[in-house]
Formats: sequence, structure tokens, C-alpha cells
Amino acid sequence: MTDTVYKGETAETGALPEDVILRVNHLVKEFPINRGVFFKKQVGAVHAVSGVSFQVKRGETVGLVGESGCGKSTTARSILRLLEPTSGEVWFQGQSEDGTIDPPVDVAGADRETLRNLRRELQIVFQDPYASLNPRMTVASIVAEPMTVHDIGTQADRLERVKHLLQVVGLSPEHTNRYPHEFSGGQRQRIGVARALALNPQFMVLDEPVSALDVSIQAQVLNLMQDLQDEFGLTYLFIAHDLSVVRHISDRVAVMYLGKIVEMTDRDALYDRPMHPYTHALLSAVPIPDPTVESTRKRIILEGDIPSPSSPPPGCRFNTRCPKAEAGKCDVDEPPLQELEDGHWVACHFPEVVQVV
Amino acid sequence: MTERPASDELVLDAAEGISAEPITQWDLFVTRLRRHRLATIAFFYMAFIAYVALMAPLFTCEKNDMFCGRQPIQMSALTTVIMLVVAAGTLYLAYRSLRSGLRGAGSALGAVGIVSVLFLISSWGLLDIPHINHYADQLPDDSGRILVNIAPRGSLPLGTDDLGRDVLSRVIHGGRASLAVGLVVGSLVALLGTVVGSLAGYYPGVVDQSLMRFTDLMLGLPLLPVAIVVGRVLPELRFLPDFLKQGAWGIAVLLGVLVWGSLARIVRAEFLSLREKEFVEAARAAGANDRRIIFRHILPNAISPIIVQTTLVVGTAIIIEAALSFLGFGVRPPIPTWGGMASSGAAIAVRGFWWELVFSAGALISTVLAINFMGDGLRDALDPTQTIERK
Amino acid sequence: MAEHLLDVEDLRTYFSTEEGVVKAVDGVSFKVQAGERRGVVGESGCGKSVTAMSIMRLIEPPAGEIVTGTIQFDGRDLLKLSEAEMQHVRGGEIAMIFQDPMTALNPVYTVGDQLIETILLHQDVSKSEARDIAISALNDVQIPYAKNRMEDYPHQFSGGMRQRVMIAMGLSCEPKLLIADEPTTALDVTTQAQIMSLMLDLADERNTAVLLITHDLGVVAGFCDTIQVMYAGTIVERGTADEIFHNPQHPYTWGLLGSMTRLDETQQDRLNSVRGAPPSLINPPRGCRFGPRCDFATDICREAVPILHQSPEGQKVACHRASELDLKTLTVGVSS
Repeated sequence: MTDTVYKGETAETGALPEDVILRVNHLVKEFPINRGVFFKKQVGAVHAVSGVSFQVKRGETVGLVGESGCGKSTTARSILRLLEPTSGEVWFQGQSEDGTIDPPVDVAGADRETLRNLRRELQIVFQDPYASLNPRMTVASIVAEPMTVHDIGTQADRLERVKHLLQVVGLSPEHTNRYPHEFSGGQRQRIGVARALALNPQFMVLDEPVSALDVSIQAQVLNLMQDLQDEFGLTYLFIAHDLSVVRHISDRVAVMYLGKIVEMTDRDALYDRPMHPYTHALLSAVPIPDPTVESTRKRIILEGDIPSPSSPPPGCRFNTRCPKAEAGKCDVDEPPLQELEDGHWVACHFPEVVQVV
Repeated sequence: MTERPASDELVLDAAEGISAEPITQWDLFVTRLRRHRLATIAFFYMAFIAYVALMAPLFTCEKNDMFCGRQPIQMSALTTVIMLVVAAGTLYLAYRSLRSGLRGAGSALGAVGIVSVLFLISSWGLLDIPHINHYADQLPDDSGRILVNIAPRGSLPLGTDDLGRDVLSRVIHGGRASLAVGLVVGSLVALLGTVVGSLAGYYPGVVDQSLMRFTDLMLGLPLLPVAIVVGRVLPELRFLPDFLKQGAWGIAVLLGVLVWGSLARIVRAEFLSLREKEFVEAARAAGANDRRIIFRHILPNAISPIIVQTTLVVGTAIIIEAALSFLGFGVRPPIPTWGGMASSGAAIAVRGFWWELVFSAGALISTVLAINFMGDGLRDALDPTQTIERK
Repeated sequence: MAEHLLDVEDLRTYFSTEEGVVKAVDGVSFKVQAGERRGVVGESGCGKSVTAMSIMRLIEPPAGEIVTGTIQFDGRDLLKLSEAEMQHVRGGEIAMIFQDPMTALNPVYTVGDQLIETILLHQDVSKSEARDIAISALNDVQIPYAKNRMEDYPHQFSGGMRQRVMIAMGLSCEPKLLIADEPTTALDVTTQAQIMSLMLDLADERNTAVLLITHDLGVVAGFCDTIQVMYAGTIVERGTADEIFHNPQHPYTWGLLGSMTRLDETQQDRLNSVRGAPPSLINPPRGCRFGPRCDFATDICREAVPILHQSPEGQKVACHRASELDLKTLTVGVSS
């Protein structure tokens, strides 16, 4: 396993540069496959995330894209320790109210008390607006829960803040006594955002926050997320499978395939000068709402299906479907994630800039 | 800072028809319950039966009491307080229901409240309310002969049994046994089943496996034989307090301890699925600990199957108690119980004296049916897939 | 002179619910030619799926009912056929594929069995002939080792493969019309590209008309000749793909296109969104249903329901102000 070496640093995690808020080092998450009822034996594993490393700068939005089974959701949840990482480090370097940078803390290895405090800084907005709100709780209880759990303020204080938060996300503060089922999908998603904001976090994971919404509502919620980022100085990790949306909202983008990052770079560089064959295929597969463009596009259609994460192919995990794969090299050696251009990381033996979009 | 067109949203919210009053889950529940006519009738029937059975002893006269019906009843202070609370409470609830337009519930509660007040007043000797015979009294006629096997007539609307006892009184008092069984079994099953099921469902691995194997054991016990054996020896267990050995309480506890297994399985299944829901994940992301997640998030969402299953188990338990008493292993005479009455009634029915059997068995059947209908209605009413959804 | 393969006239499908009558489809009329690829787009609740189910007469009373309308298919009114005759049409002359191949295929029967069953229902062939047809259908949808795969169960296929099986089932009896209800929504984008490309080739080859129902405007841009946009149970605009995408006449279409993120453009700071949310179908707004959300609504919009009429630009549009508004020159989100 090679180290992801960042420019101007040695591969140590003593102190991170001041502008970095999160650094993930070799994050691995495997789900054991067990057999047997009483005496379980591990017969295999689902390699959901196999050594992911990247960093996020304060105030930016990093888009994490990929198709199903690529591990992006698992990565996000492991970063927040909603799932226990199998190995790896997640360094969080927060900033205090007065502007000083706090020492970095490893989320993956934190003890219960530290983790509890970290939860105030690291929040998440879920994909499904229908499943992410407890149907038996009022909106007020839902949005206030983070505060209730951390014992912040009195009940009256919390209610005040809930009303404020509802207004911030564009809902009426009078609806605190309502139940989730009385709201539409877009509104429920806003409630989820209000909840995530309750403790003034610094870093937010947005797990496909608009995928379940209609297009016209998507735009509203995306605008809201951007406004909130400006207003509160938030940093986002935006998980999505929709590359068009990611282009709109991200500063940097990482593409994942079968548990690994295959390409990571600035937003414009990814869409204008992608280098990894999977990125090429992915970009060419995304439909563009313009018939003239669609009819003249060159399509790269991949063969076959995504392999199962429980038995990833040897060597480069993409080699079974890659139009450029060379037998003897690609199915034997796994390409490391390397910085080929300024800030442009690619994991491929034969990278090539191809303008797909 | 960029302008956010929030006001448009608010206007449209109102236009979209978010109702003026919050629609709580309770509102939805009551609406759907009322729609289920059978269940509503069953509910009122059960309430009536329970109320009569509960109040009956206050208006039962012993034969030696010459002043029966002409003097205030001696009610203990506790009973008076309870009656006052019941009267006041039901009248208040009736008022609130009628205010919010729930006419059915309002009138029912109002009826209960008014009757309670009447009972209270009559117990103070101010009103003349019919009193019923004591269930163990052998009733004499004017010439002193015991009124044995008298067919239903006049002051004996359900007739008398083989020993000259008033069948109506016995049916009413027999209901108390079933009521006791219902309450005790219901509480025990709900408590044990929920505790075991929730722990097993929430904590996988050793906890789950061991709890469920224990539950399997309980479920594997043949219910009736075990109940018969224990019921047979119950009166002879010296270490048990008296009230458990007589009457239906002992049987009720016994049954409660035997039948909670099915609920435990259901609760475990609910917990297994709810544990993976996103709102639980969200609570964890907010920093909630296990206790909060179990009690505040999962349990409230698992309530409906708990209520429904408990109702159904209660129905079964009442039948089993009746069966035990029918066979002679349950509640011992002279305390009346529907099963016991059915047993003695069956013996004399061949001679044409049908009323004891018919009325006791009828009471039993109708009560259990009512409980089952209530369970049906509750299940439909609590079904979350029928909530008002908006996209 | 091309004959209309499908002619839907004033279709209205209503559902009775606890809260009232949901007018899911409220006066929809359109015609589809043989071999035409028509896209039906709209957001959730607009009635596009219900339209398809109505054509296939899969709406079950008493919950839902086709209240009025005619559906002429190949000369016959489908609404007047008996259930037996309709069963003959379903799968044989009109095939439908659904969004979720997981649930559309029966998990306890092999794929081969299900294919053969469909074929036997609609064609007068022997079982072994049906088997050959089935294998060749699987080959047509590019499932490798088709002969062996006939013995596999649905869970042994990936999502994309299952959808191919659905397409194979749909096309096995050479229908004249294929209705595809969100066929790729549940699939990854690379798989989606494969499936759409496959459907394009197959439909072209056999001159099958396709009614593609989806909320994804990108997918229709790459597949459809003509498009109709639905909103709150009615068609608000209909035209060729070029007309709809490059010169939308209805404020909803225009707003929708303007609020979409595009792969090939970096948007300006904020997306131009269509404010509000789709209306209740139990109590739709008086007048134009899009009125409350429309930046250009005037009094007449609040009073009178607009009719789908021919616009000088080429397409049909249902908007009172279509002729006055020059949407091309406006930036979405800015009222005139």
C-alpha cells in the first residue's frame, strides 16, 4: 500500500496544514461474511472500502461519486463512525469560535467521550427524507434531538433554536408541532438539514441529499445547501451518483470504484480533462438534457456488470471492464493513486486525458 | 448574503394545505378505528362488560341483609375515591371529546360518567338502583324452598342454577375472573414480551441467541397440560399468598408467565428491522446512546404490533382460563367463573335446564369475540402504511 | 398517410381515497404513430405512470377507475374490450416493462420458465418452440450464455441483467407498442446507458413504438423523437425533442429545464428553481394547475383552464400566455 503523499509534506500526521479540516488515511471497512449459528466462522468479507485516502479543506465541498457498490456511502459513514472502520485513520482538525485551529483528533480511534464531543462538529444529512425522520416524533423533537442528547440549554431555549433553524432552512416556525407525514419530501429534507445544523457543526456529510427528490425541488434544496455553506462556513462531503449535480456544487471531486478512489481532482479538471478510463465511461454514460448533444456524443459503453465487492478482481479492480486493460499488467499489479498533475490524482497504469463531455 | 425566496415557500406552504391544526398520530388512529365499525362496537361492549363486572360487588346484596336496597352501601373510602375519580374523569373526557367533535366517544364516556354518578348517589342511599343477588346465595321462595333450576323469569332474568343461585349475578361476577385474567395476562405478556424481545432484537449475538432460545423453550411448553398441572396444585402451594390461590389471580399470573413468547418474537422482529432505519442512524449521529434509541425511537414505533398481539393473547388466555375452570383445575367453587358455570351448566342441560350453560358460554364467546374484533380494529387503525403521504 | 397506432382521447382516471377523489389523470389526449419513440416526462404525481397503467387497463376498481375517455389501439377501443380480450392484448400487442426488475420478476420461477410462459400465452407454438424463441430473445438482449441462463432464478442476475430479461419478455411476442415505465431509474448510470442503447437498437430494428415514461430529461433527450410534458394530471406541452429542449413554450417546461444541472456546463452560482411544490390532486387549483408556481401567471390563469393548442413555434402547448411570452430570451427565475 502506498502512502498518499501530499505536496509539501512528509507522510506524517503530526500536524496538518491549517486549511485542512479532514484527512482520511487508508480507511478500510470490511463486512465479514459469517457462517454458522452459534459458533460463527468467517468465510469471506465484503470489501466495501479498501484503503481510501483523501483530504478536505475547510469551507470547500468535496464530491464523492460512484455507482452502487463503490463504497461511497460506507466511506461517509465510516468517517463519522456510524460504522466502525476496520482500519485507518480519520483526522479531524476543527476550528474554535475564536478562530484558533484545534489539534487534530482521530475520529476512528476516539474513545466514547471524545467521540461524543466530535459528534457536535460532524453531522450528516441522509438520502431518504421519508425514512430519516422518526414518524412518531414532532418536528420540534426531531430538530432539537442533537441538543437534547448533549444536554444543551433548557427546553425553552431549544424550542427557540428549533424555530430559528426552521426559518433558516425555509420552513415556517409555526410547524413545530407537526409530524413528518404532514410534509412533502422536499420539506422533510429541509427538516433533516435543520436537525444537522442544530449543533453548529463544522463538517457535514451530505449522503445523496437530493436523489430522492423531484428535479424542481432538487434545485431548491441545492440552493439552500449552498446558502447555508456561505452563511455558516460549512465544509461538505457531498456523496452522489448524479454527476451533473456534483459538477454544480463541488470544488473537488473523487471518483470511486469498488472500494477505491480511482481519480480525484479539481472539479473543472475532472469534467474537462478526466484521465481514468472509468471516469471516461462514467461521464459518457450520464445523459445530457439536450437532444442535439446526445445524438452527437461519443458513447463509451462498458461491458459486463460491476463485480461483487466480496470478490474484487485481482490487480486493478476495474480491469475486467476496462477497454484499455492489458493482460499481464492490469490484472496483476494494482495501480497506486498518484498525483500526475497538480492536484490531479489518478490510479491507472495507462492514464490518458480524453475529453468526454 | 444572497436573497433567499423563503417567503414564497411559506405562502405556498399554506396554499398547499398543511392543515390548520396538527394532525397527530392519535387523530389518525381514532379516525381509522372509528371506521372499523365492528371494532368500535366491540370496544364499547368490552367497556360495558368491564364496567359492570368492576362495579357489581358494590351492588350485590347478601340474603341476610334485610335492608338490601334501602340503605346506603358501605363503600370503603378507597372505593369512594376511585368512583369519584372515575366519574369526574369520564365526564371531563366526555366534555373534551364532544368539544373536538368525537361524538361517539363523547357520548359513551358521558354515559359512563353519568352512570358512575348515579351509582355514587345511590350508594349514599339517595337513589333506588336495582341491586343484584349475591352469587353464592341460595335463593328461597316465599315458602322457604330453594329456587332450584328456575327458568328465566321476572326478577330472575337469567334463571337459577342447580343450587338455587342467581345466574345473572354469577355471570356478572364470573366476568370479574375473566377481567382479572385479561388485565394480569395482558400486563405480564406486554412487559415480559417487550423486555425480552427488545433486548434480543437490539443486541445481536450472545444476548439475542440466549434470550431467543429461552423464549423457544417457553413456546415449546405445551400450554394446557402445564396449566392443568400447575392449576391442580396451585391451592396446595403453601408459600403463596392467599389471594393468589383463590380466585382467578393465581391462574392469571400462571398464564401470563407462559404465553409471552409469541410477543417476544414479534417485538424482536420489529426491533431488528427498526434498528436499521435511517432515523435511528440519525439519532446515533446526533450522539444518542442505546437507552435513548431504544425507548425514544424504536419502542414508540413498535407499539402497534405490541398492542395488537397483546390483545389477541388476552383473548386466548381468557379461553384457557375458562377451559381450566371447566375441567376443574382453575378457579375453585363457589367463586363463579364462566368456565366453571359452563361445566355445571352442561351437566344439567341434558335435563332441559339450558340457561346456565347458554348464558355463561354466551358471555365467554361474546367477550372473546369482542376482544378479537378490537384487536383487528387496532391492527388496521395502527397500520402506518395508511398514513397520509405527500410527495 | 401514417395511421395512428395509439390514440388516447380525453382520458380521465380517478382514485377514491379517504381524503377525497384524486384526479390522477384529468383529460389527457395524445396520439402515437407506429415506430415512434414518445417520451412522457414529469415529476412524481404528474400522472405519467397512471396514464400508462390506464392504457394497459391495469387500474383496478374500486380503488381506481377510468372515468371517461377512449383509448384507440390499432383501430380498437381498449376500454371497450372484455377482460379476456384485454389479456390477449397485454403482452402480445402492447408490452410493458416496469421500474423495479426485482419485483417485476417472480423470484420462485426460473427466468426461462417465465419467458416461456409469456410466449405460450400469446403465440400458438409448442413448448420446445417457445423455448427456442426464449433463448433467441435472451440473445437479442445480449445476455451471455443465454441457453444456460434460462435455468437461473432472478436473484442470480444483476439489476441490469434483470431489466434486460424484462425487455426480452416484453419484446418476445413482437408487440407493436412497448411501454417502459421508468425502466432505468433503479439502475446505475453506466448500466442505464447500456439498457437505453439496447432499447434503441431493438426498437429501431423491429419498428416497435415506444412510450418511455420517466422523470429524467436526459434519458429522453437521448432516446425520444417526441416528448410530452405532464403536470398535475394534464399534458402541458408536446412536441419534438428539439422543440421541447431548445424552445420550450410552457413556463413549467422552461422552468424545469432551467433548474436542471447539466454535465457539460458549470452553472452560475445559484440554480434557477421552480418555487413551490406540485399541487394536491384532490383539490387542484382553479384554472391553470401550474398557476400558483408560475412566474407569469395573470388573472386569466387563475380562472380558466388552458387547452392544449398549436403554437406557431411548432409544438402544442397548454398555456394562456404562450404566444406573448418569449421564454427563450428570459433567464429562468426572473419574472417578466
